Amino acid sequence: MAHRLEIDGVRRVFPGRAFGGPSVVALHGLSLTLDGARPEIVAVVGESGSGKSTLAQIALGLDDPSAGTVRFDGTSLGRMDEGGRVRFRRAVQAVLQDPFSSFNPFYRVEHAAILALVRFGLAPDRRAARSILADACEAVGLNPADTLGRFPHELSGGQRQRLMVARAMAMRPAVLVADEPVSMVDASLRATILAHLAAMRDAQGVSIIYVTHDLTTAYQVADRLIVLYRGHVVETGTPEEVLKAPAHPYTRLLVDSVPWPDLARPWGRVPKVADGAPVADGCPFRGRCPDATAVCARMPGPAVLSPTRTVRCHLHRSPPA
Amino acid sequence: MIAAIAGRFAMLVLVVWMAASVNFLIPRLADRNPVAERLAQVAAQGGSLSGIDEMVKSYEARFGLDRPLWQQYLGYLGDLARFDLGYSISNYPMRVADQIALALPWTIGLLGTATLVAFAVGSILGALAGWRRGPALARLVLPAFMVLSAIPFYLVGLVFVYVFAYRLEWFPTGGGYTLGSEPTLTVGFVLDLVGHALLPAFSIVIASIGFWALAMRSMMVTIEGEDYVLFAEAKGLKGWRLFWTYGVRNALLPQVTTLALALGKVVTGAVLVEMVFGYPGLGNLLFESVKLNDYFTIYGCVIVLVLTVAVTMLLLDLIVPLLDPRARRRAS
Amino acid sequence: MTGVAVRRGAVRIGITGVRRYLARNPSLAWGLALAAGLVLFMAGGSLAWDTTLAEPLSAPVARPPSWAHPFGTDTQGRDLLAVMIVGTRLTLKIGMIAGGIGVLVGAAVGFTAAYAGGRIDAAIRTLTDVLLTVPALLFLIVVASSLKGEITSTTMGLMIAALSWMAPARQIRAQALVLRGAPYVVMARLGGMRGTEIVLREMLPNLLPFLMASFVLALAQAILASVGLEALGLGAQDEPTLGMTVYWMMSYSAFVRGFWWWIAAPIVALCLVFVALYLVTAGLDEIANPRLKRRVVA
Ligand SMILES: Nc1ncnc2c1ncn2[C@@H]1O[C@H](COP(=O)(O)OP(=O)(O)OP(=O)(O)O)[C@@H](O)[C@H]1O
Ligand SMILES: [Mg+2]
Repeated sequence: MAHRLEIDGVRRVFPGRAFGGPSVVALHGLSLTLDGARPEIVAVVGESGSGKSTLAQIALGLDDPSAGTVRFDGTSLGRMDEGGRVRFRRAVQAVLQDPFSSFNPFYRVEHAAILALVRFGLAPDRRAARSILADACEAVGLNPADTLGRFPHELSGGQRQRLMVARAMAMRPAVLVADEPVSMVDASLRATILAHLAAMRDAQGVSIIYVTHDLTTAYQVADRLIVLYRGHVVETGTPEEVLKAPAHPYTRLLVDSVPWPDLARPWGRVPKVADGAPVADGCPFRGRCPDATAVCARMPGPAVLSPTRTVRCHLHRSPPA
Repeated sequence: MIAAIAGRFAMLVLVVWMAASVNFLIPRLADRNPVAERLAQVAAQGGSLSGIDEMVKSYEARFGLDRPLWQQYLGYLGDLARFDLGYSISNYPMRVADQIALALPWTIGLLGTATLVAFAVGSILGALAGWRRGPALARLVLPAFMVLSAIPFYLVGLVFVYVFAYRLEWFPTGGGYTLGSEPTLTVGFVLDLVGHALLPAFSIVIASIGFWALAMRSMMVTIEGEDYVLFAEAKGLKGWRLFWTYGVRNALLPQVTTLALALGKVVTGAVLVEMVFGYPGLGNLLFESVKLNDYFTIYGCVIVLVLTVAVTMLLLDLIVPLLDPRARRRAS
Repeated sequence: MTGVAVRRGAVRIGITGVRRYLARNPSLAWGLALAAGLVLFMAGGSLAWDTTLAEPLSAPVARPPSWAHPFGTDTQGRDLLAVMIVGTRLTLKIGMIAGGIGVLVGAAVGFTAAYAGGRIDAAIRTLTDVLLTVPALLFLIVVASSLKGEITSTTMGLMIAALSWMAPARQIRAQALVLRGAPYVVMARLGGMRGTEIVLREMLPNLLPFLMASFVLALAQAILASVGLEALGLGAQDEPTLGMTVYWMMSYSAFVRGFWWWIAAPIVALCLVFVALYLVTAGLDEIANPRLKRRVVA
């Protein structure tokens, strides 16, 4: 059955510290829909602190939005009944950003995965669960014999990260939220794992939110790209469109900072240094934007450049319908 | 800032209110009539107590035992707010508040002096032990004091009393001053006072040096690794200047916070020391009252001790940010 | 290969590991040695010595140490060796009751506060802070003086337990707050685990060293409070705990009459108990507090 996960106008504000510290708006009204009928990989890119992990946590129902809703199969997570919550838990799985503390140091590494597989009825007993997990390990290039049965501190960061991907694959989710799933593995393995993610999409119909700050891998696997800047979606589109011809100055900056294999491409246009204080209103990027003008003191509305493409910048206008 | 201070005051009020409520409730739950008990006791000894009728009357009136519980409670809180702690049962017609007023200066004097001395000696010892270039001797004696700090003051006091007062007879065996001597401001009387205070104060000091030293040492170890100390050292500042201006001065303020946290322990410890030495402060009053089942005096002492601890803690809490620029910045 | 290989997990430290650890943590080593000595004294003493001699009038009165009574006797005709054997046991029993209940209740309260958050958390926090401001001994004096004459070592333990849960609750709440956001706890939630199960299965095992340290600290505090109360005369009147022995010794003027052995016995026993607990607490702190551990190693 195809599931549907809708993130609708989600805003997340972290209150400041007790004595009047400024509060942080990690997400400003973000919307994103994953439809199981058309499985796709959505890459979320942006610099550190742009709100990627916050989005991942909210999509997983681990954090509650300050405003807006997350709906699973049409029901808001907040109003879900017991059965709905269990269905949601089974269907939406994750690879967390921090592989070092994602395993309970008290248990062997397979502890949580085996429990979950049995609990969700994906395996009749622990032995079966173990063999399912072992298969998944092989898929991500891990030798189950010298991975399973170990304690977390006995594995390298890359091994733990792959084990998390293996666990997520074994859970057969409908939606996978992968927060920097390949940040610690070397290039050749990275390609293998990404290929497996793509295979999950194609063979099992899994929709994937792929959080990364690595534009090249996003370009490789993603069907859709969302560029986040300080909690604002500044540009969306297919990786092809966005990366070949970035419309937003921030995206351009991101793209220019990547050492692309194409040597003719200029690399590392010196960006303006970020000014510390968040911009109160108006375009959040204007403090760093080389093209900023007076109009940028007003928040630009989204301009729809093509059916798949939007951008939030005064440089662009929606073409008249 | 204002909100923080208001919060601390609210806390103080809560603490005192809770202690008062315990004082009100517990005796009622235990269902005891202290005056009747005292009467029975006196009758058993074949004596008669002067003014016993008044006492019974004031007792009944005070607790208004026929009134509903909440009225009794409100009345009790009202009395407390006016510092009316009732009458001592064993020393009728002495008022509990007067008894406490007589005892409190002794406790504050002994406890204050002993704590200040222990704080100073302990902090310096700990600072020396934590300073890399400090004398080896400090590091050697520190463990001994740390182990001593595990032992309650009054046990140390018991040993001291036996050895120095009863065996060696260097010090008086107890009391605040020689009975019969006239409390005047003469050199002789002051020496007498000090002589009586020395042993109890020493038991407190000896058993608490280790506590301060340990806290100070860990502060010093941290500070010695800080960039500003390394920088000062690189600039050529050395030896004692570095130790005092960079080490001790920065480590001392957190010690004040430690003092606030340890206050309860110090006060109860001192209460028991007074009992051992028959030192005429609140602790001894408490001990004597427990012996005589003088409930009102017991409750009065407890309330006053709670109040003392809570107010001192509040003061320390408010003072630290004034002294410490780091804490000040954090609070505003 | 996998089956044969010896796996050393965080909790599965071999004998050599323990020995090596204790060599690095002398405070814990000494504390445990002292504690073992005390346990041996209690257990061996109960077997090898007639503990009924701890009853009044079972021995000649006020004798200095001799072969028949190695620790001497008191003015009530109790053999002080027997009193020490029984007294140490009773005093530890009081501490165990109070410390055990204190940590259990504290853990429950702490986890509840951390999980419930919001108002419940604020209420619990205020309550613990208020109760911690008042020295426990003062509350206990009020309660014990109202119950004077009816107190046994068990009720004493329960009474102290009622005031022993706050410090553990506060510490455990702080720990639980940290662990609640730990990615492995999040993974457990994603695997379908819920509140209580997560606490018991995922958090608790990692908090064991911490709970242990909490327990020993609560035990030490409880013994401190009970002995203080007893020295004031507010303990079990007919049970020879260490604190009551101090009280009887003081009330029967052991000082004036020069009965040094009667003075020495409970003081030495209590000092050993307190020092042992202090050393163990300090040692466990190094395990439960990684920040300290690093400093010890460096
Ligand atoms: N629990 C929290 N409390 C307060 N602020 C938070 C919290 N979590 C995140 N933030 C803030 O929200 C913003 C977005 O954080 P987020 O973790 O989503 O960034 P990110 O895009 O995942 O960054 P990275 O690439 O470094 O992982 C940051 O400014 C961060 O400081
Ligand atoms: Mg992140």
